[in-house]
Order: sequence, then structure tokens, then C-alpha cells
Amino acid sequence: MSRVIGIDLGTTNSCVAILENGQPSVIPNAGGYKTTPSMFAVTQDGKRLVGHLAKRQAITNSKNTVYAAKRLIGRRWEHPEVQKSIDLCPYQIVRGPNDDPRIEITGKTFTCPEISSIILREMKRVAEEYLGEPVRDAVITVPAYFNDTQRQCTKDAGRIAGLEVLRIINEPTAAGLAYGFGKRKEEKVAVYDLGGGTFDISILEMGDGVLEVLATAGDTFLGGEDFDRRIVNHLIEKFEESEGIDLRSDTMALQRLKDAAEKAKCDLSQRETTEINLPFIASDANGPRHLSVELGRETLESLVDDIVRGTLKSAEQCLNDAGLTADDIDQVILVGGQSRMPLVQKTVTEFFGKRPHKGVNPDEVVAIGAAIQGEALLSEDDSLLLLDVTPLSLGIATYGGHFAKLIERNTTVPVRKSHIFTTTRDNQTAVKIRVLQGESEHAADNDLLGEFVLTGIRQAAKGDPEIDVAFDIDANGIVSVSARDLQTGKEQSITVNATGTLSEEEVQQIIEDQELYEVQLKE
Amino acid sequence: MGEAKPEGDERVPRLAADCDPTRLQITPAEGYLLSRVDGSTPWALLREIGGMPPAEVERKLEEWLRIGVIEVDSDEEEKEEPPAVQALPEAKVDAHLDISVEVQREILSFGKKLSASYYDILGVPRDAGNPAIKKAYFALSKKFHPDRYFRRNLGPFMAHVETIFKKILEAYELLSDPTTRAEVEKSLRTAGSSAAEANGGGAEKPATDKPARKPRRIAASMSLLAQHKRQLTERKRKAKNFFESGMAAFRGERWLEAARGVRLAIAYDPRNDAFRESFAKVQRRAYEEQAKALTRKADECWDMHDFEEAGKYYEEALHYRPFDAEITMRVARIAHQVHDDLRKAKELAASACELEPRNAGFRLSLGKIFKAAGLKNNARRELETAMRLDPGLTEAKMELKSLR
Repeated sequence: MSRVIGIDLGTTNSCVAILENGQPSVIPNAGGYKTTPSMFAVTQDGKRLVGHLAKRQAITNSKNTVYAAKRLIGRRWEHPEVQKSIDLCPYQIVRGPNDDPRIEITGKTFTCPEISSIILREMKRVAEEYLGEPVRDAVITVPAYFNDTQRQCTKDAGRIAGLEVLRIINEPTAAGLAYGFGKRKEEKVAVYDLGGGTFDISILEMGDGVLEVLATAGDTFLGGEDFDRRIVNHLIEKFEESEGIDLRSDTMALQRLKDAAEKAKCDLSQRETTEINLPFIASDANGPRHLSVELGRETLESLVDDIVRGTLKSAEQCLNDAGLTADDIDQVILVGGQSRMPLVQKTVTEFFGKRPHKGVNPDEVVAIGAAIQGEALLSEDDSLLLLDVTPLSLGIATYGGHFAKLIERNTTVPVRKSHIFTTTRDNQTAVKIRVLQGESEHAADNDLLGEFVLTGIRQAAKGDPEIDVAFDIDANGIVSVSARDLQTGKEQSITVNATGTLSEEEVQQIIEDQELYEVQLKE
Repeated sequence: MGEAKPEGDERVPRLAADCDPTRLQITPAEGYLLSRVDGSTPWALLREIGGMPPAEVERKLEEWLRIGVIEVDSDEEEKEEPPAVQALPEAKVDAHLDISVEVQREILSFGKKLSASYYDILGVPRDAGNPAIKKAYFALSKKFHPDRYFRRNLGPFMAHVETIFKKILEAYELLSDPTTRAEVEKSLRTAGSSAAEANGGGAEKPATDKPARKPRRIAASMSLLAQHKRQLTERKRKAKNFFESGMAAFRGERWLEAARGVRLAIAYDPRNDAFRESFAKVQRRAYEEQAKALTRKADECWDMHDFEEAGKYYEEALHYRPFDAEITMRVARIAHQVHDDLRKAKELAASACELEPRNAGFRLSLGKIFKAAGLKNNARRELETAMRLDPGLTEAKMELKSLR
């Protein structure tokens, strides 16, 4: 059997894991680190750098260093997250031909799946070097709230990187798999995942080697980087105050501030105070200026308190969706680097009334879970089964611009659901079935996955004909929809193909282009 | 036959499409009965209002149905194929597939069980509790979830496995929720246990032996449909009541009550567009009124110099009118002067200035807040803006002076 790797493709850091002799382990990269920065850079002389190498030169080459591309992948140009990134990122974000954000560095334009593929290829390389054999199969994780397009783009990225993506699974689910691996006990587990760019919370139930996802909630706009941003703003204000210089438009200073903020934040998880020293951060007529600020844990906590409390709203909703209360939860697992913050741990402990589980490493657990799922799919024994769910609700547009959900989000797959619909005009002989995905009750606010027309309906008064609309989702998440007139027996159906922002030709083109760089990447 | 009667009663007869009633040779009494056949009155009601003795009505309707004068809503007859049970492709035990012959046999035999009751599918007793149902679901999932056979060649068995798992999932979902489980119970009681037995036995009979299965299917699906329709009518009636009381409240200017009534109406009848349209209107009005009342209370407190109380009301009002610059600024001022919460004051004052960038007074307040927070440069910038907007603003001038 070929080896399968699990990849946690993170906003800030990525991690790769494997099962060795039935034991999950994280594979360190050549530098000995278990996580690799999700960063990619092109140097002045055209050399491509990934991971730690890219991060190390980010300050001096901030315009040509890409980070947090995960925030952009699979999104449309108009999306607020994209617009926010355009304001905040030192690298150039341009509008692509498919209305997708693309990244332009050193005169070359990269699509987001392409950037992600470069990170994935690096993780693949790390695994191959460690194992001494080629790796093809992988399970990749995404935030629970990624929509179809974002998932498909991640899959495309895997393909560009030369991987066969067995499954895309949710990060909190992966964490649950890692926790439940080898356990037989019946337990209800809450996974609180506060990463660099997103916050997810999932409630899982396990027993007898089966893991069921009961509910998922989260906030795609909330993560550790928001903490950093609050610190950066605090530092800018302080500096403006003491020196009268506004650093907001100085990209190099911003990158230094961002790094320092992140480091200070991590320091404050261990210590009560920390000092931030950034010499020569700016200069004016009076000569160079230095930034030197002492930051206390209390100050940090007052800066981000509302963000942390904001996560509890999602936790509440998730419990509600699962039909449980905080008391019903047997274990709480913390995932994502930001969950190391004492304030986060304290808040979560208070909310659930119990201390979080200590046995998992929040940076590694997701990759491990992905590797476990890969192994579970390929192995022939039945020691572990994940009952995965649909991330978003599916349904059809109905009269008046409404959205009728047939499959609620968090429904276990594979699944089949049907419902009877009817006509809205007298003697109507055809209906258009518009297949939508999303949570809004207004059809227009959801994503259109496909549409088809059912004709030959018996002429009758409105409301009389009965049209049975059925949704099928298979284990790979492929959706097919059929509509049948119960009186005439006429039937129409489509299979909805998930589409990323890239066409098949574009993917093929990028794969070819990538191979040209293969040599450079292996340096 | 005792079972058949209620279902017959649910039938809704209508005039056959190709029948011209003026050419029929019928008595005036029969004519009256025929005029009641309108495509919406069910069989049972016709028996009562048909103008002749019920037995006579029954006989007449049956006769008309037979000779094609009337027809019953054929949609219900078409429902004999319950959509839940899909046709499975032919599958024969095949030693060349990637799964053992025993597993193939297991799949085939479970596939035959799919039209059994949900309890039988999960293999749990009628009184099983949720933990037992979950246990059974987990155990069956481990056997029939398609992921168990990932990348393996199952030939036609893959489709079987998918269908089986979907049915297991359906059974688990319906039985683990008390509301849906009650419905399952109800339909089991109406369909009768005898029918279930007949179906179980039917599996061994040759496939051509259709009549043995057909009646039960019609019965089950028709009673479910009728039940569904009854519930729908009941919900619509409730929705209408809520809506009417909501609109009465609206006319009586009890805005919150009105919004609540209409919201409940939508909850009971989500497809009613008229409700939704009214809701937008009612809610907007309710919010406005609520904000107005709260602001009034707050103003009173403000005038009485009870700023703490005023702050609470303003903040609540802000919830209903989030883009009101004046209220935003008042909350900011109270946060600053009463609670000394400079962070909140700063944020709110800044957003008030964003909403009304040319308001000198707002700039002055923001400047004072910056000053209190020790942010002198920001304070100076705001105060200077205030001066520029309103050169006569002496307070801003004085504040600026004190900064220097």
C-alpha cells in the first residue's frame, strides 16, 4: 500500500504528518521544525523561496513575499476579505480574468491555488525526503467554513502540486480524529480551533471507532492575525504619540511591527510582560527614531478581550445546533496556535466548566488527524470511520426569491433527501430548478451551483402538480439533483460539478509551468 | 378492507377532463351531487353534503369513477413509488471483486430489507432509547459506509452500499429526533403491522407478484400525504391567526407586539410572501418606535443629569438605530465622562465622526477624549479640524491652548 500523508495547510503555518507502524507522527522539515511557514517569495535575482527561507527575508523583500494566501483562495474579488487584504498586505493583489484575486510579484502573476500548490509541494517534499520514497496520496484540511469553491481550489492546488487528494476534511474534525484515535470510549468532544486566520468550533461524538460530527460553527473573519493587528495598532498609536510619526504607510515598518507583535504575543503566553524594541524604525529631520515599548499581559488582554469573548457566541450556537449544553461535553480540545494564549484558555475553561484536554499539540493535531483519515480510507480494517458532513446547506430557489433548504449544513454524507414542490401559475408546464448552496434565506445571496428545466408538467391549477425534487450527495461530496413530476413521471437531473476559480486548461497550464520550476524548488 | 376506507375518504374527486356533464343522463339530485365535485372537496365530505343518503353518494361516486365521469386526484395514485426507495442495479456475487463473497452476500441481504420499517432497518426494538439507536447506527455505518470500501472495486455493489447507508442514515435521523420519531410511530400505526408483515413476506415472492405490495405502498404514502396536508392547513391557520393579531397590534401602535406576531406567522408559514413583506414594514416601524421611546427616556435622564441611566437607554437605542450619529456620540460622551472607558469612548466617538464628518462639536468631543487618553497628537488633529469646521468654537480653542 502506498503511503498517505496528511497536510494541514494553514494560513500562517503548514504541517505534514504520517502514520508509521500505526503511530501518527509529524514530519520535521530539513531545518528540524515541525511546522513550515505558509510563505512564498521571489528574490530580486528571480530565485523562488518557500517556508522558513521565505520568512527570513520577508522584511527586506516584503513586496515580493506572499503570506496568508489562504485568506484569498477561492474568493471573489469583491469579497470584503479580499478588499481587506488589499489594504493590509505589502504584496500586490490584482484582479484576475475570472474575477478572482491574483498575486503579482516580480512582474509575474500567480493564482491563489498556484501559491497554495507551492506550499503543498514543499510539504510533499518534506515528507518524501523523510520517507525516502515518492508520495502521491494526501488528505488536506480546510477550515470548516470553507465553501465549495474554496475547497475545490484547495483540491486544485493539491493537483498542481502533484498530489492525489483523497479527501478535503475540516480542520476541527481532523483534530477530533487525532484525539479519538485508538480510543474506544463514548465521548462528546468540543474542538475549539483558533488559528491564524479563522475560528472554528465543532462538536463531535465518538464511540466504537466511529466519529460523528454533530455540529460546526465559526467565524471566517476572526483569528490570531486580528490579535496581531490590535497590537500593531497599539504600537502605531504609541509611536505616533511619542514621536509624531505615522507608520501606517511605511510597508517595511509595518512588516517589522507585525513580526514583533506576533513575537510579543507569543512571549506573553509565557511571561507577564515583554519588551518590544525596533531600532531605526523610522527617521525624520531630527535623525533616526527607535521604537521601544513595554507590553504587559494585562494590556494585551484588554486589547483583545472582545475578540476572545466573540468566539463564545459561535460556541453557543454550535452547542445549540448539536442539541447539547456545555455540561454535556466530556472533553474540550484546543487547536490552533492562538489557543495557547492564557486568556483564551481561561475563557474556554469558564465557558465549558472544565479544563481543556492537555494531550494534544495545537500546532500538529490537525495534520495528524488528516493522516489518520487518509490511513482509515486506504486500510481494509474497520478500526476507524469518520461520518463526515456537508459544510453548507443545499437547496433550490423558490417563488419570490426564497431559498428552500433540502439538505441542512452538517448533514452526514452520503445522503439523499427529497421534497415535493409545486407550480405557482395556472397551467404552468415547466419549472426551472436552480440549485443553490448557502445559508441565507434569500436565494440571491447564495451560490448558484447549477440549473435545469423540467418540462411536460400536466396543465393544472397552480399548486396542483407535485414535483419531487431529490438531492443526492455521495461520499466524495459530489451532488446530483433530480426533479420528477409525480403525475406524468417525467424526470430531469444534473450532476453538480464543484468548480474552483480556475478552468481545467488553466490547471493543466499551471502544472506544466510548475514543472519548469521543479529544479529550483528542490534546491 | 377496513384499512382501505379512510384512505378512500381522503381522495379528492374532480370532473374528468374529457367529460362533458351536460351530455350526461342524470337526475337533478345526481346533478346536485356532481356540482359539488369541484376538485377540492374530499370524498368523506361529499358523502355528508351530497344531498342524498351517504350510502347513495358512495355508490354513485364509485359508479362515476368507474365509468370515467369523475377521476380522483391521480397524483396520489402516482405516489405508489415512494421516492425514498431507489431501484438498485442487478448485482451477483462475484469472486473477482475486491470484497469477500461473504460481505457481498451481506450487502445483498441487507439491500432486501430496505423497505422494512425504520426500526427493522436499524435492528432495534420499537422502545429503543436514543443511545441504543446511536449504537446500532454506528455499528451499521462501520459496515455499510462507502468509505469502508474506498478505492476498492466493488462493481455494482458500490451503488448498493451507498443506497443502504443513505437508508440507515435516514432511519437514524428520523428515530433519534422525538418529533420525527412520533411521525414514524403514527404512520406505522396507520399502515398497520399486518401490512409490514405482508411486505416482509413479499421479499421472498417473485418480483412479478406486484399486487401483494402495491396496496400497502399506496396506503402508506397516502396517509402520510394526508397527514402532511392536514398539518400544513393547521400551520397555515395558526400563521393567519398570528398575522391578524400582529396586524391588529400594528394598528393599535403596539409595534413590538406587532413584529412578534408577524414573525410567528412567518415561522408557521414561511412561504407566504405577504407575511414577509409586512414583516419588513412592521419591524422597521417597531425599531424606529423603540429607538424613539428609548431616546426619549434617555433624554429625560440626561436632562435630570442621571447620566448613568441615560447611557443605558442610549446604548439600547443604538441597538435599534446603529447609524445614528447623535446617539453614538452621546454614548461616547457618557463612556468618557461617566465610566471613564476611554477605549469605548474613542471608538464610538470616531464612528460618530465618520457618520457626520463635518460636525465640529463631534470633533471637539473626540479631541477631548483623545486628550484624556493621553494621545496628544490625535487630540490636536481633531481639535484643529473642529476649529476649521467652526471657527467660532471657543471651547475647541481653549482645549487646544491647554494642550500646548
